[in-house]
Amino acid sequence: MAGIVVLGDNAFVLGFRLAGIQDAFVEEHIEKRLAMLLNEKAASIIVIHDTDYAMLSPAMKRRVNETMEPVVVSIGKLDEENIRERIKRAIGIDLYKSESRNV
Amino acid sequence: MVQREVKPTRMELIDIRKKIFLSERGYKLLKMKRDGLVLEFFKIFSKARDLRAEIIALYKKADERLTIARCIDGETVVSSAAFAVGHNPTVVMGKKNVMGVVVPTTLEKSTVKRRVDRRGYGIIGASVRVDEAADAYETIVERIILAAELETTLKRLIDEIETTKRKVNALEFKIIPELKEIEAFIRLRLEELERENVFRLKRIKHKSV
Repeated sequence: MAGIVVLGDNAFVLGFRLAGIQDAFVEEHIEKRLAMLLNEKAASIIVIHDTDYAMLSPAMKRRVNETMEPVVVSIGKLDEENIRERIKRAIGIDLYKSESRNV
Repeated sequence: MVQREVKPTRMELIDIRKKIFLSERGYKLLKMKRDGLVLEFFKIFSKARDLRAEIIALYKKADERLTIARCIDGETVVSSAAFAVGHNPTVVMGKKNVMGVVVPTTLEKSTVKRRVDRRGYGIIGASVRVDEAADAYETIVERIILAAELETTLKRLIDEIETTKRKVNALEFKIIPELKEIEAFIRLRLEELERENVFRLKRIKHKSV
């Protein structure tokens, strides 16, 4: 399947349904459904809200970050913070901080 | 600690020298790989960061529009409009190789943005607020497809940079210095044995004379 799947609460899912995404599911247990989708490789992109991402277990977070089939995108500020921390660890400098200073 | 386990023989010295040569070559290659990965990372970093900021802003706006539509038109109208939308955007993701790191790439994607009359729900039945919300979410979906490629590439590059950095540091500060220490130990031990041998031969020669 080459589609986009959206998982989340009713308010989150409804907007994406309006955008035409039919595989948008209101889901309370995101982790369970996410694991199933990752195992089945049933989508190209899975969209979740970052508050749901924050609730995932560390093992699932690691899996979500590593997987490419499907790619998981979380929407919100928390994922940006996560990327920021990882960049700081890998490169050794806080690139977001230096950019905000330049601005 | 390591020196005690090493036999100070010429064969061992040759082996250690080979290992040092190999480690130094690996170290140089890994350092080049790390620098290459950092360059690749900086190529996409600003794009990914701007895209993330754009998605956050767009989502906030779209959420506001949807909330307004739900408040004024009612949950039932918005939900029925959402279920009436017939067009399901598709996207096919592939893989490409960046400096030995496998990253996703978008191979095919269908158009997400549609005209108001092509959405599937009735133009008269649905209000302009529903249209605006749908339009805002379509824009987000377009950006999400881009982000899926860029952000995953960025994350994978970060992971690979970190792994390579650890390998480079391990070689630079642990493996190569230890090997050099062992090499020096064997060399000095062999030189000492050589001197002892020369001295012994001289003594024997002196005794025999």
